[in-house]
Amino acid sequence: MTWLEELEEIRRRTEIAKQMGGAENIKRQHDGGKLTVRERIDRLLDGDSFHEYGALAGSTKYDEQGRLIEFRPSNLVLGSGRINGRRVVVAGDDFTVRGGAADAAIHSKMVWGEMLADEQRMPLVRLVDGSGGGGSIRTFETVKATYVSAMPGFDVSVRLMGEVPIVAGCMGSVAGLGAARVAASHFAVMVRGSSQLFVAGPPVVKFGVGEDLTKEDLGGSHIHAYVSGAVDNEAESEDDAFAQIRRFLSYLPQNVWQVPPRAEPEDNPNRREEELLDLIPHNRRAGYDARRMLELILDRDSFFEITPYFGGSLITGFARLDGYPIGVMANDPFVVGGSLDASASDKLCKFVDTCDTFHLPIVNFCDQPGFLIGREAEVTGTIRHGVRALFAVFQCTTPWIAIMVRRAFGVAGAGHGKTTGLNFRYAWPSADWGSLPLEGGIEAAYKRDLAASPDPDKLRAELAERFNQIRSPLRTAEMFGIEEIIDPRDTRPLLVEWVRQAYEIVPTQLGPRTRMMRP
Amino acid sequence: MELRSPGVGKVLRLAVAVGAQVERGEEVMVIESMKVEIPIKAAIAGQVKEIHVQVGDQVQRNRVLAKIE
Repeated sequence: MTWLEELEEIRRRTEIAKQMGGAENIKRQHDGGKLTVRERIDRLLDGDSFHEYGALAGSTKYDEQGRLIEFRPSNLVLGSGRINGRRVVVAGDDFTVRGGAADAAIHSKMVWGEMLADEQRMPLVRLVDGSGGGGSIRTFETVKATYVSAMPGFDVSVRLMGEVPIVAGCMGSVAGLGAARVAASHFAVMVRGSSQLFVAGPPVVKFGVGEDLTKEDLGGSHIHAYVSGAVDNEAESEDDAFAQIRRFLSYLPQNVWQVPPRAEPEDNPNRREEELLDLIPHNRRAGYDARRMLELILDRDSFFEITPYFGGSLITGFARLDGYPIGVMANDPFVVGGSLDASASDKLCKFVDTCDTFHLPIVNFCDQPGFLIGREAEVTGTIRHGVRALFAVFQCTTPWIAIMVRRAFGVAGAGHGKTTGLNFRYAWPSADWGSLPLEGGIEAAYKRDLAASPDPDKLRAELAERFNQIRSPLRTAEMFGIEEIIDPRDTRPLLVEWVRQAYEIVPTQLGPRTRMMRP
Repeated sequence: MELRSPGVGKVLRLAVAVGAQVERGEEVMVIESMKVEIPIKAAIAGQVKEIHVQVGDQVQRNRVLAKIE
């Protein structure tokens, strides 16, 4: 006798699982402008590469003869598949089944997925929707008891951040544990308009603190991708979110034991752009387009900006040099002069930790006027967030190079690289540095003389003139305070030479960091 | 639409007056922040309906500077 009858039953249940929460709930999901979890997984992964685990998990009802009369699939769809030919684990919440809230099968499936990524050393993609497997008051009714709040398997998730890339797509209204699963990632993206993120949603907020807000006002992407930094990027559509996830992963190794993957170089390594000759204005008060500078130097079209809006004074992203993946930072002079404020410091920490975890060499284009100053800067804790960022820089062990584009002032300026290690640097002729900038610095150092002077403006001008004479970076180079001042047009060829050397070092540094990263 | 200050700073100069027609990307005013001149550009084409600051005003991040319709 064959097992065909049992196989038929397995097939039948798998088919039911594919129907998710049923036609009505699927329609509601689509009407809300959202894809179902299975559509999401199909669009995220390389065609037809999804292999599902645990499709048979769900809650069931049997009749008195032990025949199945109801099967409701678990609301976490789990499996592995390929992205750009490389295998990843995907765990997607199914909002059409009980709004993604915890049920009998979801939690152990979720933990198993994280363990799979851990043990097989594969990237993990979480597509989070609803409460993301979080507990629901209804669980109390099922269990007939309450329980001490716990996150079984969270230790795995914590370890995972130091081992494999974790990417989170915030795909719907996400609260509680779901929100935590989004935030606990190397890269989080949310969809403008159709996804929201919060610790607790509007009904709980209204009850708890009296605020009466819509989901969008409480936790839309305009808040989290711009103001709070809880997610990195905003996507225009779900497909855009999947494209961003695929792109983010393309720069990273499968795990910390592997070298980041080099792409076929498609750009001339010796390209020298004339535009770099006058990109930085002689007028120190004038800004310039830092993103244009990156385009001119990095491999063409290789820059993928991460966290573009939050902490906008610092630009961060992945890119390639001669096909080799690198982390890139640059100050944006058009946002608070490019200074390091609390949010840019927060962003720097996560970015540098991510690069360090996956052994991506870092290129820092430094035009750092210092920490942001003023009352708001003090109230937001700039100095503490700022030194935390400097710690991230100094703890980082991956190869690092700084291009001293213009300013490097104060404590924040000193964080352009690890000044205690072999800190590779090239300065441009526009470089301008010191523990304090002349403008403002004169006011502080000559306060008494200025106050006593019959003509303070004249004295100020005389002092400025005296200091301007010694301001040239050539004077610094005379003391070997800067190793080399280069023609900005040579930056790309020199960086290509550096990155090739850096990738000789990277294989000697593989494995987890002793201090694993925090989200 | 509202133009807001991207950060703390001082209004250095106004490039247009109330009633002016501006193109998208045209400079409306310049804020000085951390000793860098930061052009505030029109996010849309239209007419400048309101200007809420004067030269020399100190502004905080997110302060509404002007309205364009």
